[in-house]
Amino acid sequence: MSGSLSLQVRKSYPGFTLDATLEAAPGITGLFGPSGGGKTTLIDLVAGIRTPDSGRILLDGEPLFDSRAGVDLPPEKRRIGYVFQDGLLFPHMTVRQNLLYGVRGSSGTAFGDICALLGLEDLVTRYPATLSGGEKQRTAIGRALLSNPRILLMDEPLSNIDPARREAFFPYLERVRDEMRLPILYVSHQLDEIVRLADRAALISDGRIRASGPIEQLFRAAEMKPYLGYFDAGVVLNGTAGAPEHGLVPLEVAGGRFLANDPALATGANVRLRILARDVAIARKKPEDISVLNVLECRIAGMETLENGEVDIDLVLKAAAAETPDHITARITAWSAERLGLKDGDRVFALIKAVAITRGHGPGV
Amino acid sequence: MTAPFLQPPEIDALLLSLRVAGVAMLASLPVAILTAQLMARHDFRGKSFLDGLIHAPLVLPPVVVGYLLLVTFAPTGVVGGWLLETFGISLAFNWKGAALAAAVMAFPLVVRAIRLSIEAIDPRLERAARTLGAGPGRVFLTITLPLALPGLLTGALLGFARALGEFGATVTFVSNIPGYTQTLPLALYSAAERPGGEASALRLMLLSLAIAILALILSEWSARRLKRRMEHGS
Repeated sequence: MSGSLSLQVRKSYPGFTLDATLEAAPGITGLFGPSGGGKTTLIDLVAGIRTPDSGRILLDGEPLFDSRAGVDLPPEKRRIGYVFQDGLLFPHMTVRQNLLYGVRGSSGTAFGDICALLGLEDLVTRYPATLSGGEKQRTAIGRALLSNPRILLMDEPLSNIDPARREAFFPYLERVRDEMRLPILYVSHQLDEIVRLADRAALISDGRIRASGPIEQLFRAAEMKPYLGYFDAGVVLNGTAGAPEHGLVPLEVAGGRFLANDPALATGANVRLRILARDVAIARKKPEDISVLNVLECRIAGMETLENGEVDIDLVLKAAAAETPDHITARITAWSAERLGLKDGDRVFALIKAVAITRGHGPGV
Repeated sequence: MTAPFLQPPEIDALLLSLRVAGVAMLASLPVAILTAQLMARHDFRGKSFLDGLIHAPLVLPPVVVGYLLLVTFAPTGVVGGWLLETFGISLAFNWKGAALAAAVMAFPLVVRAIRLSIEAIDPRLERAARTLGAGPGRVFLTITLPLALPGLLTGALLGFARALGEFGATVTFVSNIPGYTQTLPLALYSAAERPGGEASALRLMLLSLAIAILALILSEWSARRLKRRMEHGS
């Protein structure tokens, strides 16, 4: 299989055991979970920086590690690109020398292309000590890509970037994702990064993979609940942007259609929407004369009372015919649920106050 | 004999000293670098024993080291006999022997300085280089060694100064023969012992002081220059 990673590994430390099975295809696979859960250990095992106790790591079908066959390639023979948390640029070399350090043979991607992709043209003569956090990280990504890797491992690449400049950094990562066509393992404990960048994700905690799959499915997994937190609870949906009407862009999802105010969105673009549970209200009758744009007909598919007395209501969209319609979640008070007499199977209207588009901008999408 | 200028025998001692210390450093530096890398980056059985062995010249009386060298490297000794037979090299009572004694006595200082500077390098930089396709040898030459350069220079100059001052092991191993093994400290000792040698002793003392201070200043200056180049990238 070309461009894919498949691993099944076990590694024990005193008081901690990592036991993980994972597949990754081209595109970004997010590794998400609490600190100390084993995310970085897992990509270190793929890189060959640490050695599993047992198991198998296959890249494009070729074993990098196989405890039964006695295979354990050293890091330099694995052709992996590793972008470390703090970049780890070589301080005694210029940006150019750093970028060229791992260039292998002539089959490597051209220097100029990578510099253009990451906006490094004006930095090549500088030394790492004079670069900003984002510039360092872009150089580190370029250095890894120029070594012509078969997979890219990224360990919290945004953690050393000034929060105000993070937004400007996403397009670079999106371009790498869309243009390099590599499997990328992306470690982060920031959910918004994963939602924005990843196609699939795995939740890792206490050394185990607790849940994995496409982002929109993962968000509905029960195992994710504790990690979403009170304010972040909600769903992630994939959709397509339609032609603008009334200056608004319609976003088609399975079983429904949202209107969003985003003039930058190109018609036909694939988008990822994030709808927080606390932004969804419920009405028995279709409200009229209301400023909320998105009022969707739904069926209640489940109800869960939270510890604080609020109720999470699982809603299936049914505004349009769809084989497997998308779900959204509404979070309302127990009093409201009682007042409206809500129960499983009821037909209601969801009032959605905010739809966040986390993906779909920029070229190449 | 109150001339302020160096006399020919003193110039001989100076040149001999520079040659002995210079050769001692150049020849022992590669060994010191590899030993420092081994101690800084690897764990193996007998590491503390090797550590003790490296540091032995610091704590042993120099006469003991000199005598050990004499027993081992004299033409009648195990290694000395083999060297003479195989390569025709004799270390007894000549400047090469003096260089060996100086190198052995300076070795712990040199290894220590280099080891500290290697240990100060973030080992993750070396790992990053491995993931970029560099084998251990290339990592050492392109990452470890350049980053350890300030410590390496300090170590080499410190060792050079220590080698210039070597007395006990040298006099025991290769004796004190003017023109052959009489380095600056030995010449100073002889002059101080000789009636009427006070002026010569004074000149040799000032000379030794000047060389030592020069070496220290040079070491500081070069280390700072290297550090600045790395930090500000000029």
